[in-house]
Amino acid sequence: MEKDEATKTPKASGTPKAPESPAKNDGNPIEDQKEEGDNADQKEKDKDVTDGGDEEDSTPLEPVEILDPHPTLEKLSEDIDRCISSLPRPSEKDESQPEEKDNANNEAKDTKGGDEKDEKDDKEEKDVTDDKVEKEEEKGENQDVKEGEKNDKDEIKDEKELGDEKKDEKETEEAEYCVIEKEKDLVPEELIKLIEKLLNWVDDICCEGRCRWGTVPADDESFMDAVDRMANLRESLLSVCSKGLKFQERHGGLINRLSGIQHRAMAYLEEEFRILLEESKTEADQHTTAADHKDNTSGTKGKNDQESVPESEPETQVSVEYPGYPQEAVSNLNKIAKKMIFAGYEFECCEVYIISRRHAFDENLHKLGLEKHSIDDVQKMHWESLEREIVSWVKALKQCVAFYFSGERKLAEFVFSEHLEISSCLFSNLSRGVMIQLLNFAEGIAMAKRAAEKLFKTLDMYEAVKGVVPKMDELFPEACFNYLKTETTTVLARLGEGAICIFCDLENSIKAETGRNPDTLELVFKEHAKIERNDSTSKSRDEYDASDTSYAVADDESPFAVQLARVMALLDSNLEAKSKLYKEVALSSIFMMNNGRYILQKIKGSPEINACMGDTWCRKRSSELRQYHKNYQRETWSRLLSFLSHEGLSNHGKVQKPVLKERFKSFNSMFDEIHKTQSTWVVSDEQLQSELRVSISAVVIPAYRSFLGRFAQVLDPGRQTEKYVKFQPDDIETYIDELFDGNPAQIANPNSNSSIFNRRRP
Amino acid sequence: MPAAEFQGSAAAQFGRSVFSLKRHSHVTPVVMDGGQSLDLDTFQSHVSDCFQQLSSSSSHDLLSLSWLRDLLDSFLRIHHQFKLLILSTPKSHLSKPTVDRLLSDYFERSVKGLDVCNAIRDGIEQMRQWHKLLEIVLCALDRDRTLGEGQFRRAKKALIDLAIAMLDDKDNTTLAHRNRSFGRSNTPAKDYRSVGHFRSLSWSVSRSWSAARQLQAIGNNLCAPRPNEIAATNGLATAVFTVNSVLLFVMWALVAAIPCQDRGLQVHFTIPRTFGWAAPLLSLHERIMEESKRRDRRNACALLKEIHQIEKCSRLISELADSVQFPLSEDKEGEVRQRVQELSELCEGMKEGLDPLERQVREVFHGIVRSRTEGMDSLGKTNE
Repeated sequence: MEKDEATKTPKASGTPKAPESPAKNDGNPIEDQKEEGDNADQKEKDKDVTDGGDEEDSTPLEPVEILDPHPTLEKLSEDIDRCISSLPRPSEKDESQPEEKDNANNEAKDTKGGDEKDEKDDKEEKDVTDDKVEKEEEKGENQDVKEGEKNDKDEIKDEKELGDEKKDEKETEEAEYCVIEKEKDLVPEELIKLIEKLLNWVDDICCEGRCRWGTVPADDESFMDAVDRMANLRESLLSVCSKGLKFQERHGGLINRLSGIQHRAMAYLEEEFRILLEESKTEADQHTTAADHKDNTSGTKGKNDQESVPESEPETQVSVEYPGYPQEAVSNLNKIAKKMIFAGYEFECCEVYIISRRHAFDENLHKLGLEKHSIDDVQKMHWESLEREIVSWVKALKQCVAFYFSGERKLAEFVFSEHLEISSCLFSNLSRGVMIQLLNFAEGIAMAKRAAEKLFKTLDMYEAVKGVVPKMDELFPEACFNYLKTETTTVLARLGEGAICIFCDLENSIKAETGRNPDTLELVFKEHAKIERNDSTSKSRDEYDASDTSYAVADDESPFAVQLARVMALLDSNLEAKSKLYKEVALSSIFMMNNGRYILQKIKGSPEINACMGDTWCRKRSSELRQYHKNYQRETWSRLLSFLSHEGLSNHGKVQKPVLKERFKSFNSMFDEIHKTQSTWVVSDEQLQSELRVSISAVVIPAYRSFLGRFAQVLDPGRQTEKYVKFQPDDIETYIDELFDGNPAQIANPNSNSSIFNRRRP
Repeated sequence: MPAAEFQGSAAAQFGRSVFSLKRHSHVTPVVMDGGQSLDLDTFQSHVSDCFQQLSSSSSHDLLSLSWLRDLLDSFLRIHHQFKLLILSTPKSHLSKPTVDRLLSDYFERSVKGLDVCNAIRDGIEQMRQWHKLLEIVLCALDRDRTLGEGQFRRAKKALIDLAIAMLDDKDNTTLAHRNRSFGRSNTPAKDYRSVGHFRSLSWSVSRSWSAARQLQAIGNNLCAPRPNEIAATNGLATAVFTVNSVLLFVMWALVAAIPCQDRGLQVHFTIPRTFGWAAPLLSLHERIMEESKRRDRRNACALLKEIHQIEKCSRLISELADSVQFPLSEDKEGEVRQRVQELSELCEGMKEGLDPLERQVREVFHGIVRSRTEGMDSLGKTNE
């Protein structure tokens, strides 16, 4: 419908013959009025276009605009195409073109003066038309005919006729142009106008803006078309120039303006590209935080999920993954990038991309709790705050390796899917920077003052970095692989070295018997216990081991184990020497039990070390502990039990009362003594404590019960019984349960309340 | 190539630590490559030679990329020689508390140099970004077939971006706004990118890090040893003072030449003229200070010669772009072509120079770390 109406207009105005052509513009208002009802919208659009254009350049086109045979870009493009096809083609001249082009350029330079004139002419629009018509009187006819041809699309007969005519004309032109080129402008005026119109259309969009990219895909398409069109036009016009025609003289201004608008369109695309990059990923943030949340709540499960994502998800779901751009945003980015690169704006496109992604990644790391610290800062920071930083760092490094890097890489590969070398270069640049930042912190930590409590955190970092190394091949493109691999292995070596130095220090301090070794150990292990609880680092141990075999530094694992075993052996001998310092064998046994159990538990609690030390070691340890337990029991309780022995109490079936009395007295005082002493002893491990109590009760209580049951009645009831039977079996149990609490508890014996023993901590 | 080297040395170093540390209470001197021992005088004259060489550069070469590379080469050499000197000093000397204190002080200072190295690496990266902007200018004005309005606008846009990127961090925000709105007065506000977009990110130092402060920390309490100190340390105090001064100077010169966060050149060198290297070092210091005070350089983001040339060249092109009228006159076009040719050469030089410079800065970094670790080992103070 619309098309028909639109085509009618020029047809009507096209019918007048050449001489009337100048009047065309004057006649327009009438036409316009006629068409007003139908073409109101178009007119409005046109006005905008013209206004937009006014700011920048002179707009000589208003008259043509009002005509408005081109309500849509599509239509305009068609017309332009048609005009372009009528331009003389370089065709057979192609081979010699480079040379000619140079000539043309030179000529263009020579004749540049003409452009100015041309522009001036353009401003005085009416003059221009008159002037041109005057100049091209005979050509005007052709032109009008051509115009008619163009618009009479549906009238086949006409078109054919005119088409022939056009062809004829073209042939003539081609034959003649060498001769008459100076006089004749090969580019029909209408084309100039159409081009101007197209440029205004583009310029309008670039200046005035429109809704964001992606909201109306059809508009995006037509803008892209227009960009292509401009590129083609430029090619065509330049190729006309190259034919040595005096084209530049007349239309250099147009080419100039075309390049200006082309640049503007590129700047516009660049801006849209940036906005797409920066603003269309808001959804993504939710994705990431959701993933994070999941990660926090469900620990390893979340981690596994994320790790499996890059492999298992089909590529089409890239939008759900880390960079979090919706599919269409990615494809829009891709389209724009393609267009910009095609137009030679590769650098601009890459600049915008890399800067945006760097900022985004930086923000990401920040969200993960990663701060940038200079090495000097790391040396000065308190360990407590460094610890927190290390936890974030380990997490960040793992997440980067697990999915951030691959996400970035995929994004780059999607956006620059036609230019893999560009995407790889951009990703290299980005990942290199991130790795530099991450490794730098590790470098700082490896250099920090060494202290025992840092051992496990340093090892955590070591493990994390080590986990990166085997994955680097697939993670990073060649461009940055070597550099990063070198840096990473260097840092890995430093961390490992740092951990070993801490170990050595520990070893030395044990050797030196500074007497603080249990404290030191305590510190170390406390640290590690903390890690164990709130970090799943050690879980990934197995997978590291599996992948390690291919990597050379994996060998240092054995020196590490050797070192560990040596430290443990040293510690043992040291503890043993220490235990000898206790005069009481029982106390010394408790000391050994306490420490032995502590070490064993911690080692079992840490899969890395457990794996290092091996099961045999643990079994040996356990049996040693049982031995200490037995020693203790024998030392403390077998003497007490000897008082409860039935032997030597009866002579020929008659209980000897004085002996019995002595036995009771001895038992009472010894039990009291044991209770007083050993309730001040500390066995902090609850399980060990209850094990001890149970095993004591198990031997003492039945023996006492049977002793009491057998001999209590021998004593005279009343005063005598009261004097000798101080404890009921239940009391014994209660008192046993008070042992190893570290409290100087009182037995309900009035005689013993004053004796307070020095507290001794085993 | 350097990658392989690093890897090798890292592994070797690691191995060494594992096994040598076992017996670290009675350390045997680590045999260094070359293995020769060094005496104090040789060390001093070596340092003097290096600085004579550096200061003999013409004012054209001073602070150029190639000069910086010579400077870093010298540093690496001096650093290495110092290590040899320490390792060839009898243990009995090293174990003296005064010497011990001196060396710890040196290691601490050198660790502070690591952050400067990192900041410089970031600065080099920043210059790579500038290089890319210059590529755009070349792309527009050199490689395109025609020189039209569009090409000039494209170049102009890149040059504005470059000017903003080259501004010092401090005044970045305000000026950037002004410049960009100048540059695109005809485009609506939404068109210019957020200024934050342009800030180059530093990868390795925190926002609050300051090169000026770091330099001050390196130079803190650095003074020539007193005679009794020299005697007490068997002359080692002079060597430590020398290597500390060299460290300070080199870091200072790097900060002077390469853009980095919060530059500041207010560092004073008080070096007795009796040192052979004092005169050339002080003269270099003076010349660089003069350079920094020159009117056209006072507000420069860094004193590197190449940066200066780029600034000049891009300003000229920018002015040309502002003044051209279309169609281009032949004169103008010739002028543009000539400027662009200059710029193209500059770009090429920068591109070639930055990578090796970065590698060297990294070498300095690793060198400092290594010698510190080794030095600490040989002093038997892994646990300081």
